[in-house]
Amino acid sequence: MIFDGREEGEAHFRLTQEFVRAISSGKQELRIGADGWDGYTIMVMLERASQFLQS
Amino acid sequence: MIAQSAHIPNLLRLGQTIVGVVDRNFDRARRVAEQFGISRYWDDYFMAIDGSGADAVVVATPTKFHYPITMAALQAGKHVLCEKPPAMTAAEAYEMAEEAERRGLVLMYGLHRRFRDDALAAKEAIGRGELGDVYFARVRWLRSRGAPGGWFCRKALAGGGPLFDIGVHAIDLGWWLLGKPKLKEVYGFGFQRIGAKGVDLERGHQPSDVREGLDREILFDVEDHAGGFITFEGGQVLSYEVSWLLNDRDDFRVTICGDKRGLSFPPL
Repeated sequence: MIFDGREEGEAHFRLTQEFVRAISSGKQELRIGADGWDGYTIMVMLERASQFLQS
Repeated sequence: MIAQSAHIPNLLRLGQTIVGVVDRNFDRARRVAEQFGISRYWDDYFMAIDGSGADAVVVATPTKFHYPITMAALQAGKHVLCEKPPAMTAAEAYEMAEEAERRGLVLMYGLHRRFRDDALAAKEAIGRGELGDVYFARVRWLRSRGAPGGWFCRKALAGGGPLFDIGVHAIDLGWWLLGKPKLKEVYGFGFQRIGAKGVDLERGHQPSDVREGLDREILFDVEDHAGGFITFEGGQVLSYEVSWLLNDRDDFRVTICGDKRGLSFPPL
């Protein structure tokens, strides 16, 4: 692939595009983005991982 | 800052109408609104949620406030795009997911790395079976000197350091590429050996309050460096390592292995 420094910006744009599409379509389904239940599972992993951190 | 650099310009590019901007700093809310030609601004999110008439809300605050603002927005019938990490705790994230589902609203998190060209190409290759049965992922995102400063470095506001800031992307990306398998166990490590002694703050990543001189307090009570591995019910393993402060070279690399082939990016 070709890199031109815009990969992160374009990824942010696509994320917003999917959010708008999910609302506008009326189906309210995400194809790629992380939904509420993905967020919950990710938080379970983060919470367990954080138990190993030194304070 | 992410609102100005990404969310607002992206919504405008998509032809959406932004009805207002909220910031607890009223002057900043006004400045941002004027910058983008937005007519209304507030310093209280309740006013924005109750009085704006918006269909959706973007939450781009310190992590501590993701849960109360998202819940208030969902309860008012708004769709929500919430920045990462989702919340301070899994219990908060559970309630947020349940509320969105119960009300039939979109709740999406700002895990944009799934949408990079290389990540999408990797996902498609996995979907086509090119790697065979994928069973191992490794995601490494090391910043030698990349602590953002301000609220990001305060556990009470951020929930954690690099684990919560960039580790959330690392873990999400690996888990998503593995096909979102069911979690089994997490093993990890973390170090707080550099930041707490005096931080080299990276200028490019500072939150607004630090850049504007409104937050001069040096408090770093989070980890510098964290890693570990996560096992899943299907036998898959995800290895992750992230840092803001580490005496090593900068690195971002994702590797995923199947029983036929493997791939690594960037570049892909």
